[in-house]
Amino acid sequence: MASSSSSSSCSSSSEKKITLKSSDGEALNVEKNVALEFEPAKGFLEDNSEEADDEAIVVPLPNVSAAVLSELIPYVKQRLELSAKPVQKKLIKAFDDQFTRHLSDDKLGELMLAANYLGVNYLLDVLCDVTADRIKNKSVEYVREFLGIQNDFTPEEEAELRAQCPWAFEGVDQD
Amino acid sequence: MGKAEKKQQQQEVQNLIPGLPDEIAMECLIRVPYKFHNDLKSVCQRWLNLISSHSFYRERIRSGKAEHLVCQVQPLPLSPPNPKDSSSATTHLVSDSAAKITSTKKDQQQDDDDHELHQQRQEVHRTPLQYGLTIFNASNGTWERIRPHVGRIPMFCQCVAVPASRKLLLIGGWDPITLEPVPDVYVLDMVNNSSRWRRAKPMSVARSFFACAVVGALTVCVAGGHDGQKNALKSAEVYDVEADEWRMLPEMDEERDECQGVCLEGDRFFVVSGYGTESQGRFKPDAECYDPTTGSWSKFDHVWPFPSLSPRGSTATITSNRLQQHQWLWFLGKEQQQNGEVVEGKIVSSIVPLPKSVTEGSSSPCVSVTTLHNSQQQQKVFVMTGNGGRGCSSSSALSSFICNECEGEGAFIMERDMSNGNIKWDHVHLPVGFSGFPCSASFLLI
Repeated sequence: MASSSSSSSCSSSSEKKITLKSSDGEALNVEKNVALEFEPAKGFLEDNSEEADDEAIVVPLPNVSAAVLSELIPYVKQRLELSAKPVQKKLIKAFDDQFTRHLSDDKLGELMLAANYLGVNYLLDVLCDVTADRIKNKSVEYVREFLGIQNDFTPEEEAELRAQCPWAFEGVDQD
Repeated sequence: MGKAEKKQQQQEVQNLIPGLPDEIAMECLIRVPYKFHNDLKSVCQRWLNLISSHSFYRERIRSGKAEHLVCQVQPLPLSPPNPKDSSSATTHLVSDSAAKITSTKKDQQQDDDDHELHQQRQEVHRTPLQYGLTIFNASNGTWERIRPHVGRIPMFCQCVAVPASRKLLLIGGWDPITLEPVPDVYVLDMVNNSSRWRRAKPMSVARSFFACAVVGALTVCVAGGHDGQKNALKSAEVYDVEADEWRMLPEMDEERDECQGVCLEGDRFFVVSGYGTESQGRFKPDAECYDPTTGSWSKFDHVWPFPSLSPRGSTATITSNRLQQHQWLWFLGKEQQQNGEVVEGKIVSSIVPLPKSVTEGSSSPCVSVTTLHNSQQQQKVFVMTGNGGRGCSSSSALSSFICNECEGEGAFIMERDMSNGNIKWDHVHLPVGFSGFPCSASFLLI
């Protein structure tokens, strides 16, 4: 293997770079350790390990757009740096919160698909939490609208379902 | 969601969430807290089917997203200080269940009584103690109350959660108005139709203060207690939760009122201590065990060393694989703590001293104990005491437990580190209106 891990003090710029090619044909340069976090890239690099020069390798990622990749790459990079240190889980949580807080609903969906395809399970986990958080304590109409789900109940069925209210709830959140 | 997903939506109408593979949608949905599941069911047919299915709840458990609920039958505060607790939500539940649960004329009569009771309560606040079902969610520390029919939950009924069917049963106890023991059984399906108690088949006899335990996956055994004539009982019966059927078991050798039920090795039903009609209040030291494979009872001596104390409520069973022994934890006051460990056959009973703030108020405090977690590494038990009132604790050692917003200081979670046996007590915040001593409690992972 090419030595990508000389020492932890070594600045990231001196690390080996790999080129990822997005679905829309853009080439993005990333550190090898970041690329290895993406399952398809890891597999590709293993298959082409006899290639002497990593710089020459271009990994095709036909399911992820450049826009999504350019969000994912800095996240994964920082997350890797965080998990290399003996930091508390709280810090990672705060970092994840910061990353997800301002994600638009569209972006959230795109990132989930990308995280799933790329096998970045820790990100997928966080994104699923965020989705669950965004649909809990909301009106049924809001949830349908938010996720683009068709209401396939008859009005009678729906009225009956809604009559089942086991808990003495406070009101739901504002949509 | 995104434009790309919207395009795909046409072809993938059956997806749980348009544009996402079902496995990811499932990952999202299992993370939504239990209390919102009813709302999710109204979204679409597929969500309704999914969230009504046992596989959905199995997945929540497997992925560690299931919530830890302690279900307790608790007396309601006489004049609810909490507005959320009184008017609108409650009356909705009352009228809803009152309309649905009636099946016989006698029921109808009782519903009328309930209605009257409710009105009286609003007028004078001086009615018999009423009970409600309280759910303490140990996963997020919240307290909620379901009160499907005011005035109906029997006093001292046994609350039993049946994990495999996600149902909650209320068995026996006393009629809250006549104070007579009742044979009644009510079932709440926590997954489907969780707004309505269903009246299930009653026991063969009216029974209160009996031993009760979930035995096997889907059956509940009861034994002993006393009937309407205050006779201690030898009789035992078993309830099949799915079939809604009671079947008599052979009688125990002795009468046992105020006994404790414990299930060990998955299907062996222990009935611990209790007393006979003629020796009221003198608790027997022995236990009887029903083995379903032989269909017979056998006796274990020297299991309960406290003749003036009932094992009910204050004990928690924990199965530990260590040395093929069963561990039984007793949560006791100062007077009993000298006794140390009692070993009888495969049962090891260890005494867990209660926090000082609890034992200072009373030498043998009432406690209600529910096991939350049990693994090779750690045991976690929820303990609620009868010493809920403020001011009963002057202990400085436990001053960190005292929480200014709590109505009482009576709820704790005990964590026992299995590697060194160390015990740690954590105070649980007890909101106003939830400090009543639970007469029965059960645990459900959902």
